[in-house]
Amino acid sequence: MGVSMRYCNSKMEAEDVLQDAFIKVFNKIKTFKNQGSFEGWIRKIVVFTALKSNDKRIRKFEPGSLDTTPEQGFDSSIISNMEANSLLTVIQELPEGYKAVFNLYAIEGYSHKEIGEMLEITDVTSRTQYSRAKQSLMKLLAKYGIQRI
Amino acid sequence: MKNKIENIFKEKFDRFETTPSAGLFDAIQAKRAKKKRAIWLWAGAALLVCVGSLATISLSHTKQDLAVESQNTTSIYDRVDIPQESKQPKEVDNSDKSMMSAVENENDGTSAIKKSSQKRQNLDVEGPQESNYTPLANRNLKSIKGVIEQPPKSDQGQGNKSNDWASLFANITANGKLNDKDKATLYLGNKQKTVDKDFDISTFQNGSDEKTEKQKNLSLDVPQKSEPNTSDEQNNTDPNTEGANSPLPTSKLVALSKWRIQASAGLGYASRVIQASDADYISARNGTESPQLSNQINLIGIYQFSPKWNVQTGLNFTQRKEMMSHSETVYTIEMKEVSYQEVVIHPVLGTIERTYTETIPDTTAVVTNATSTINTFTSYNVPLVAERLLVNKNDWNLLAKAGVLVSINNVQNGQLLKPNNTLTNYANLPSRSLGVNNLLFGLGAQYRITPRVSILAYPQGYVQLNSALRDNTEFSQKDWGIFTNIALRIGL
Repeated sequence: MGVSMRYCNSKMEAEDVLQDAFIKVFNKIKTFKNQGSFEGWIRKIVVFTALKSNDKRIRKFEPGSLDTTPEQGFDSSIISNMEANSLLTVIQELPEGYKAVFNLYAIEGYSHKEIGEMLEITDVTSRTQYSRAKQSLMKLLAKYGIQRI
Repeated sequence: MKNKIENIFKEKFDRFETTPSAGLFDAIQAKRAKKKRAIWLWAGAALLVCVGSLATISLSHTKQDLAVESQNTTSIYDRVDIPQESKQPKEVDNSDKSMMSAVENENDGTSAIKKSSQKRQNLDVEGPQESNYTPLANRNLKSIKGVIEQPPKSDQGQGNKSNDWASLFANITANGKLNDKDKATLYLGNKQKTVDKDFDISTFQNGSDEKTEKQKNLSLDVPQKSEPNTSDEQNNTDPNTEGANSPLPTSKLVALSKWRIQASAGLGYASRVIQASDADYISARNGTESPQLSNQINLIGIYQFSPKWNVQTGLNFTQRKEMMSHSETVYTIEMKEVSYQEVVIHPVLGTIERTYTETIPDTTAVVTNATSTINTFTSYNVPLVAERLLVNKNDWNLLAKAGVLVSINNVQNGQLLKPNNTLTNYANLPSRSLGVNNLLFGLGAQYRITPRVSILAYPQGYVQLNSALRDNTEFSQKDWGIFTNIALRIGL
């Protein structure tokens, strides 16, 4: 549920994704070959189901210049001190495309090449989107940071 | 290398969990049970269709066998059937004796008829086609040929008593169940006579005095000699002494080979079946694609290896068309400035109110992109088909066929929606250009215009057995279609 929450905008939407994902898990359970962790396998299915679900709100990826200085001047201690629930709220506020790339890269640990294949975009686009996602995230965090003063 | 922010987020969300609603797993169970019920319903329907088809084919086959046994005649594509060889061939030196040999051989019983009917050659008679024309079945070909090639000479004292032989041959048939091997019944027009093995066939003629007007019209269009009959002949009602003056109509007998050619074309409805694990994707495809009028052309050669069965092959061209209409809403991400107002209640300073602006991403800007294309799926196939005659009535035949279409070239043009909801060209997908196999079936009505030429209305359908998209694990796409073909079949 925690995984699907990160890709969706609401709990209801996340439960729909989880439901679809578990139906796929039950249907494809015979294809699981015990070569990796079962949890990881289910997690992957949840991620893919969430991505497909979000694809219905089609987004447009526009390649842009790579911003290599997203974290300069950013106080990471703010993030460290925040609760996961609060971070989740911030992530959910990201636009769909940013949210997907950020989740896949920063949290799931996929490479930009893998993300490009999954989302049918180039790895350059993935990098750009990730960069923009972080910029947006910082702005949103800054907003929350101010509120915490 | 991932830096600090990624590590912080990864650490925060590594074990992060929230509790779903209590009813979520009940909903999953209910959805799975519904899916299972749907599978059983489909399986039941498929079983019902299979059983129904088998019963229909079995019933049709039984009726045909009964018809053959009860009539001892076989009415097939061509007008006259003559067995190619007899179990007990006789010497051909005299037409009359040969004819009796044929009759005697025929009287060996129904089993002999069945055997001989499997080895037949088709002869046909040109000229007007009469509705009550009785086909000649199960005859000794060698004997019949001998009769046709060696008409009886007039020096036997009977005159041209073998006139209208074709009609005579065509109307000879066994009477009843053929229990008596020494007797047979000869028919000529309305005349019939039970004869034994000593009967002289040359004495049995179709006398003009016994012909009705209708029978004259239904004769074989054989030119009659202008010489009028003598009064003796006109008054002679004894079949043993009757005479007729027409020459043997061998020129009116048309030997058909076993080969036919057929050209057909038709329009039809064709679509495809999408199979994918994601039901929403199937729904999305069905929502964006709608079938258009499709077309088909067939050029085939036919080998008629038995009266009821033939095999066909040639070239089939099928083009399926569909309209792909897709409208997508694109959320562009733009930055916009938003003003915030904040009120802070400070224990010392009191209430502090301040306003500030922030630039945040705006996902509300919407652009709508509409796409509309005609997708075409062109395939060139080699049909391998078996066809069977189901029902024959006068000049009408009901035929059924089944087989496979082996594709030799497949070309797909147009666009489609991929599972990730992006549009792509078919050219970008790995597709199968060779070896897309189809199941072919059809049910047609044939009308014989002339002995050689017939037209057919032949609705036929096909179902693709394997997906035209190669190595695609996300979904498979199998075509199907029904076409109302009109065909022209010519005997060679």
